[in-house]
Amino acid sequence: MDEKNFTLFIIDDDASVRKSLRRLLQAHQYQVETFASAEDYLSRENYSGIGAIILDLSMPGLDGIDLQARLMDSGSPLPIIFLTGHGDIHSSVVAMKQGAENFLTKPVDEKELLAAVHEALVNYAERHQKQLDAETIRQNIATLTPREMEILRYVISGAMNKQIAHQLNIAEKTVKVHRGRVLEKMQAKSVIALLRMCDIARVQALTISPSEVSLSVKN
Amino acid sequence: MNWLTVAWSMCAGVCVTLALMHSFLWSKNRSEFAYLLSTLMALSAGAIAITELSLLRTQSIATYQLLLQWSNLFVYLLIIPMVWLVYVRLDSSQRWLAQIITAMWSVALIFNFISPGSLVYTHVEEIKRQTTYWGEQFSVAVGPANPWVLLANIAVLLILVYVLIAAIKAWRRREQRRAILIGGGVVVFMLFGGIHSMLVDSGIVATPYMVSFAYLAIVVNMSYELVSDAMQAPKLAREVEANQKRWIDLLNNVQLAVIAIDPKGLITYHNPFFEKLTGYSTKELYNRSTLSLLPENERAELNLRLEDMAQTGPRPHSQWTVVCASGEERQLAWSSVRQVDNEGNYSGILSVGADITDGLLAQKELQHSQSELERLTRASMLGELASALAHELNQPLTAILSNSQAALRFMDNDQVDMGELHDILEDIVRDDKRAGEVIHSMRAMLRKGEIKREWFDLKHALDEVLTILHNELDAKSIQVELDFSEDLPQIEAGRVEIQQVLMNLLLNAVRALQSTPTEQRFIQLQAHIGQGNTVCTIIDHGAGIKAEDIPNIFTAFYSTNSTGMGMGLAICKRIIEAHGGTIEAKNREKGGSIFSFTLPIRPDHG
Repeated sequence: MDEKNFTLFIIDDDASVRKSLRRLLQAHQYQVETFASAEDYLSRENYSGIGAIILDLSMPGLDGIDLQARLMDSGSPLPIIFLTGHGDIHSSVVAMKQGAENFLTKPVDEKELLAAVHEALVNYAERHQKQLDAETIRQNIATLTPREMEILRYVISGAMNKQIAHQLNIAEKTVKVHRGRVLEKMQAKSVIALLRMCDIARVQALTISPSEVSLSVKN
Repeated sequence: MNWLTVAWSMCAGVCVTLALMHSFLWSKNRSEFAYLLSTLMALSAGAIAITELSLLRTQSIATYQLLLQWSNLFVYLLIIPMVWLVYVRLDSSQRWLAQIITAMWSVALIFNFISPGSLVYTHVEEIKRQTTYWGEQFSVAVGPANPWVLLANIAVLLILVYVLIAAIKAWRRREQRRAILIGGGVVVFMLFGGIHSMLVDSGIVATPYMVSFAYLAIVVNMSYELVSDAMQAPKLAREVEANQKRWIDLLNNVQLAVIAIDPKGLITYHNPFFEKLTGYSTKELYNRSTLSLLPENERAELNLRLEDMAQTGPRPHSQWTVVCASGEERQLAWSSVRQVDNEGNYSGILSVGADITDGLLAQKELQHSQSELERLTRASMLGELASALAHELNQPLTAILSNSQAALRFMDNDQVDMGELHDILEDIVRDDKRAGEVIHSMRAMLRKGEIKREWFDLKHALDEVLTILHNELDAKSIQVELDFSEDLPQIEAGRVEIQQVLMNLLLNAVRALQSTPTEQRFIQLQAHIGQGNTVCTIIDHGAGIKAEDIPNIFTAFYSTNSTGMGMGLAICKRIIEAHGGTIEAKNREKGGSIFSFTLPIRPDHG
């Protein structure tokens, strides 16, 4: 994975620490932004790319735990790696419960820091990719006509074209055309791929029950 | 009826009765010489009355002279016992005076018998018959005065002086009853007898001499005093008995060991508690060597001590281990007194011992738990110091590590950017110095540094501190009230240090007001002169200090708020004490805390 375009946000009240960490991480080709306080970071515009936050636990004003809580509330997806001066068990428990990615003690070794950053970024990239995929699928679904949507929902339930045609009281040929268009619009190479997409996008399947079949026959 | 005969006979009768009574008392108690002396006195007084009566009735000069001589002998026999009775009963220390009086009277008595007319006259020239108011006749002698009577008169004066001195002394010893009955009686009636005789001599009063009645009165007085003493004897006996019972009750029931040891170190008495304590029976303890009750390692010491006791007496307090019958060892704290017999020879010691075994154990446990507590306190202090140090040192250490590793990374590149490397090394040097400063300032906190003293106004120093804190105080709506005496002298102190103290105390007060309603957020700052000191007091109306925190509030690393290091007040104390002052904390009665420190006032500079 190419991490060169990933940005790391360092938040620490100590200028020396900020500067040295920036230097070290830049030497490893990361984009780095530094902030002297939690408030400074909050006033930055939202970042949508892949990255991670390296956060000092004890700071004047909003401390690390407070900032973490705020970011969780506002739905920020960036993973947080905590840096702490001394092993404060209580704080670390709170931080991990709030979903911190990692918890490192100062002074932090290069290897340890890089490993934590790498792990956080990989995890985040994976999550990010999934989200991206879901987004594309939802956009594709939005292009479907109501009839195509209906047919999709029958298809993922495992219904045959004939059954669908009978159910909708249309020609089997018409079902085939719709089905082809759905696959095309959803950019799915097979029904299996379509199934996976619908799973991600949480599309509900429509099943054809035998009673429904007999009922519709009578009509 | 002859009244004179009746009166003098009765007087004699009373005297003889008293004499009998006293002789009886004396026979019961031979060692009480007072009874013998008073018997003699009473007998003599009776004899005087009889001779006086004979004198009143005789009309022969020869008989009169002889009776006078005898009369004076009886007076002698009354007065001398009286003098010595006073000596015995009033514990007069004027023994020499009593001896002089006795000698003078004895000499006078010789002249009494040499002179034909006794001590009173050289010789009796004639006997006059005189009549009383009621018409009875009695004899009075006429003759030239014997010059030796002067000796007797002087002796009488001496008796008055002697008795008065003895009575006054007895009075001062709070023996008022004796002083009045014996001393007062003797003086009053002797004066009465003397003055009455003078009145008769000068013819103003037409009665016979009534010396024997005066003596009777003295004898009655003394009898009363002596007999009332005798009457008290049964009461005293009861008291002695009650007293004895008290001691026996005490010895039998007291929870202390009491033993008597003879000069050989053998136990001659022990009380029941000692039996109970040791578990030995009375038989086993009686005449047992005290040495055998001690553990072997203490025996040599006790042996030495027993020898010392014979010479110098025991030490008032000592501690010995007693080995009980069960083999258990008990620690006893002894208090001992040396005893001597009637001849003044050393006869042993009496000792009272308290069992302090349990107390000693408790004390040992207490000491142990105290030292354990101290160890824990020290450990936690160290822990906190380490934690504080770690916090302060971690920042520069983090920077140094990251910078170094970044530099290493740069050096891996083909083209080393020397400018960047230079910057990095500079940063490393700076952070390293910073770490050094942390340690240095930590040490400064913990040690007394050199304080740069200067003369300044406490008020000015405080104003500067308040300027710094102005925003903080304003933001928290805290009102500060100043109450500084007009006559405050300048102080000689480290200005920065005193400002640090004021700053710390003020910040403390600000913290204390955190949860106080805004309208009640007051800090009072007072300064005045008291007992040669400038006394500065900072009062907040906040939550106050927890009682359990007060004793430790100035102890380093003792923090009452979770974020503090517990150094602020410890530093204040160190600074104030380095200036020769004191600092204390207490709670305000109506809520809040009071911190006050003193700075000694020094002689003004120029």
